[in-house]
Amino acid sequence: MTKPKSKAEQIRDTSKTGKPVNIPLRTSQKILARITDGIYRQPASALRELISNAYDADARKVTITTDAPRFAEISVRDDGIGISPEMLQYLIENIGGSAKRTGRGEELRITSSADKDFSPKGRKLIGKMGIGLFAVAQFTRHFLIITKCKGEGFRTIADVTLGKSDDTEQTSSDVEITSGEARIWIESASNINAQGTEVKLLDLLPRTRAELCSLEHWSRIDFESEEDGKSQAVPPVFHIGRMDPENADQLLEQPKLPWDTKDGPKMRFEKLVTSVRALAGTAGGLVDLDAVCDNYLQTLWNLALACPLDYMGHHPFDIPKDNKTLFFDLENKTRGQSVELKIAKGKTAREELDLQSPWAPKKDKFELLIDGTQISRPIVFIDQPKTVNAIKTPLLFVGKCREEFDDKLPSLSGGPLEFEAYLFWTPKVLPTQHQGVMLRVGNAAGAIFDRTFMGYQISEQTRLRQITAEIFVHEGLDGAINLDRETYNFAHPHYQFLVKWLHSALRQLSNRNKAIGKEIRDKKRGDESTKVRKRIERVVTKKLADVGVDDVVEVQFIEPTLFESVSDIRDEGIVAFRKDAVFRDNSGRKTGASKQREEVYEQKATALAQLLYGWGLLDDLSYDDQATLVRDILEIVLLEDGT
Amino acid sequence: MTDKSSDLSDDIVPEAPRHSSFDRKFEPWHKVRKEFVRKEQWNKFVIRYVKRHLKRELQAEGVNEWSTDDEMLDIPETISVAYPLKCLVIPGDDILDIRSLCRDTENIKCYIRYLGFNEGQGSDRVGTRVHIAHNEVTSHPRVSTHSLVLCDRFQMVAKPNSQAYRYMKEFGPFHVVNLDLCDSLFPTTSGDLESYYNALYRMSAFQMKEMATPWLLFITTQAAPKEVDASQLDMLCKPTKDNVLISTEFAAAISDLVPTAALNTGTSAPVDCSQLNERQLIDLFGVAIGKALLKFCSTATPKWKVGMLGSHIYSIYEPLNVSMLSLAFKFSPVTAPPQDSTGLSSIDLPTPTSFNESELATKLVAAVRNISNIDEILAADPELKTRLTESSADLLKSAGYDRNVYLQWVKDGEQTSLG
Ligand SMILES: Nc1ncnc2c1ncn2[C@@H]1O[C@H](COP(=O)(O)OP(=O)(O)O)[C@@H](O)[C@H]1O
Ligand SMILES: [Mg+2]
Repeated sequence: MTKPKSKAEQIRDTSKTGKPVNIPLRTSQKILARITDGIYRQPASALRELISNAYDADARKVTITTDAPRFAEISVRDDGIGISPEMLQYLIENIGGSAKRTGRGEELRITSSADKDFSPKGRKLIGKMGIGLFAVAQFTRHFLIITKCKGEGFRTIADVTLGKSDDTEQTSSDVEITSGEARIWIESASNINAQGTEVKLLDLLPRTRAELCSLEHWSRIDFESEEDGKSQAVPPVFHIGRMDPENADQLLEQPKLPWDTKDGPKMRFEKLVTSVRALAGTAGGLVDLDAVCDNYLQTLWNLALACPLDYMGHHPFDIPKDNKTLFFDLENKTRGQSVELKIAKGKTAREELDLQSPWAPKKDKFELLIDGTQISRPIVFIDQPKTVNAIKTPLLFVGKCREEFDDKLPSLSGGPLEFEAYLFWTPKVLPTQHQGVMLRVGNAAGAIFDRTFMGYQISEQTRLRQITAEIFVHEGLDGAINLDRETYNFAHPHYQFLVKWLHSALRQLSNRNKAIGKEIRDKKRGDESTKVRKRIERVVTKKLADVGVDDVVEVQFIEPTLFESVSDIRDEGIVAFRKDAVFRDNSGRKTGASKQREEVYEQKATALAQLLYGWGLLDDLSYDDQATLVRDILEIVLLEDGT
Repeated sequence: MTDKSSDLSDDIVPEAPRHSSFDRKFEPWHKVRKEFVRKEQWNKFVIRYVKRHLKRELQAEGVNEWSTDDEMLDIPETISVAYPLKCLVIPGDDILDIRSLCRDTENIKCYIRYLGFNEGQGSDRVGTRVHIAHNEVTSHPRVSTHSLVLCDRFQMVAKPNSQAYRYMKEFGPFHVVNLDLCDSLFPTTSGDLESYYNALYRMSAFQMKEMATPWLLFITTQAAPKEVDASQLDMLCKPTKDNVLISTEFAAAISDLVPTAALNTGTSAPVDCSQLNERQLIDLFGVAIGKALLKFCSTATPKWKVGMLGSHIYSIYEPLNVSMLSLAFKFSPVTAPPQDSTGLSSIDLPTPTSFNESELATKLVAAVRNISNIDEILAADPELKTRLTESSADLLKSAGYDRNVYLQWVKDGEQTSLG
């Protein structure tokens, strides 16, 4: 008697039988509910999972192709090791049980033979839960996997449909249920050497399409303009265009992109990042990605942040030494103190401190192209925008730490934890979405920055808004990642350790920042004379210090007749207002008394502006609005005075 | 009960997915004569084009950002990767045109990036076929994975706000435009001349605006003279008729092809189709379409010229005398460097290209006269037929067809549902 053929063997036979092999998708109710009902927050999350899989499969390049702005189909294609029929059978029959990091992984040849936490080429694996692939349920109930392994004369196709079959009874949550079906067959391939996997998402769900094409935003514009003829909401500054809801072939809105069709893939994304950052010059000074980019471009941006890609410019550890950035070394102590890092000419922080992140294999390369745009981490460390802050140079705090938890039980501590990190202080973080801290395990991260800095309680709102930080975890923390890969189990010792470390680092940054600011202010103060001014200044400094702000901006009121414009002076980092925008008409003849009164007004207005700035209340306003606000408050203050 | 007029449930519940299967049957474009078109017309001219123009362009342009390091590694001649041959195609479900182009350009190592239009995409059976074919074709080291098959009809290009036009802009301009139409640009009563003509017009305008170097246009269309739509043919012939009036040379040339009286030039009467036999109708169509393209060229600034390259005709359904016409054109910019007339300069700049519309039109007529019949060629050259049968079989095998079944099908007379 011959042994019955395995499904994988049957798949290999389809070239002869001509009949696809059907494999039902079986999984527990619990996992199914999680993957179909959205543990993932945004489209970017599901794409991120597919990109992570490509990374784990040692791909060098991932190409995502959509039919934007229609969004009927998306293809995610890599040149990785491909999926063998055996592996395909395994992954379909074991949703929620990854073979990575297990003996099976080695047997199926998807992990390195030396260490099962690494890919064959030596990358630290991202996947381990075994549900990432099915995150596509967020997009569609129907997709194709077309995959090929090097050296094989065939490619394997799996046509997968998701969804409970109707005859399945509702059962308790741990019972296995059929949650879809894969029809699998092979077709001959002419290029034996080709390898890679394509996941082709078909019939995107209406909800996903709506999300990707920013339907909500456009509908709001439509609705408001129908109601009142004009709309409060405006189209995003940059967008991928919009299909005509009445006509599936046509665009109602042509794309408005910061790049030109002739620009190459790298140039495109660079132009997006530069253009978005440049928008800070116009309004109040900050840029909210959400307001300037449509969901499609935000998806690109978020993937650029999350995926294991290179930085657009320098890695923070490789910023060249120049006089524009001050470097500090963080101390690994609850009450630690940073030390200024003297970097020798021609050297970098990486070399001085022997930093290793991102711990990728030598000469490793991983590129991601989305619709012809090559994306890279859009965090920029040089060429910071000019601001009104007293400190004009960015500060980069760098640290590394290894904790063995030597005297603790490994089962309780979770084993050793090792990481490197930086905290980058700059007066203006662009866009605001980059405020906060991002945790990367291996080379991958959840989608967004944590603006609370892992629950930092000290009210230093202004300063916290001026920090971008990343922690690169080399060893440990894996056990603390939740299924969605975006949130963490806060109770895990590794997470707890990172919280303590980060909060200490924030204090070190804060102290250093204060000290530098004070030094600059002291120098300035020495030049100034009048008593009243000094008194008001002291009050302002004290009041702001009370709420944790110790950077007091310089304010100037300029004569409207002056040739220099407000924005010229602002460019030098001074908050400037035109006198006539803040004070009532004072063109009449000036007596000595009125002149003195004018000076007092000016000092009060200065104090007001300093307070408002300190609180961050003016950041989002245009210069004109800022002046109006100061004028109005001043008027009320003076009213009470009986003036 | 659901209120029938309610649209609240729209776009919430997805459509039930349709399944794919992988049986393949033979279609008219699997016949050996189509392989002749691919090999002896399209690919031959493309190869010549690449050698003559693309490589030269390349040296001037230097390296293009589209090429990633990987692609450079995969291909020995980096120079070709650096500057892909950009193609606009209507590739059919098996993407046979790009497959064969890839095969035939092996020696010149040219790197290909294509934009295809295929409205049959999506999740249905045909769609799955296209996805698999696209995956296979783009796995070739000389085909860019930045290629795309768009689920739109090529005709939509006519509308500047269409998705099709947006993608033409994004991927273009193209070195090669290959319009392998399933229906007809030939004016018939049931045909779709107008929408194709509009798309052709829009595409040509785009190409002439964006290209600075020559480009190729292939048009494969049905020609069913029995069903000719006389009034549409007459409109299409307007530039031709005008040309007859102003150029005796042209008039003489065309009278060799069709009885000039039938054209009714100089009168308001339309072309009299009853005076033309079927081959003459097809020839007149060939001249008319070429002349119409030439008119686009001569009225554009900067100026272009167009010439017809070796073109072919073959039958697809003998009893009804339906033919396929495979026309090839080459567009070239008309250039003129500044000329020195003082005699002070001894620099020898190239002489300006001459442009004489009537002369070009006359050449066009000659080219139409030379349109050859593939069926006759194959019948007369069994060796060629065998060679093409073999290469067609290989091509189809690479697209997942059974080679032996195919060879048998050819032996049995290439029967298809369409005849
Ligand atoms: N792009 C890909 N290339 C190669 N193998 C893949 C790819 N995507 C998925 N796989 C295989 O499918 C398995 C399941 O993927 P996934 O559901 O993301 O789980 P995990 O990544 O946690 O193992 C992976 O372990 C891997 O073997
Ligand atoms: Mg995964």
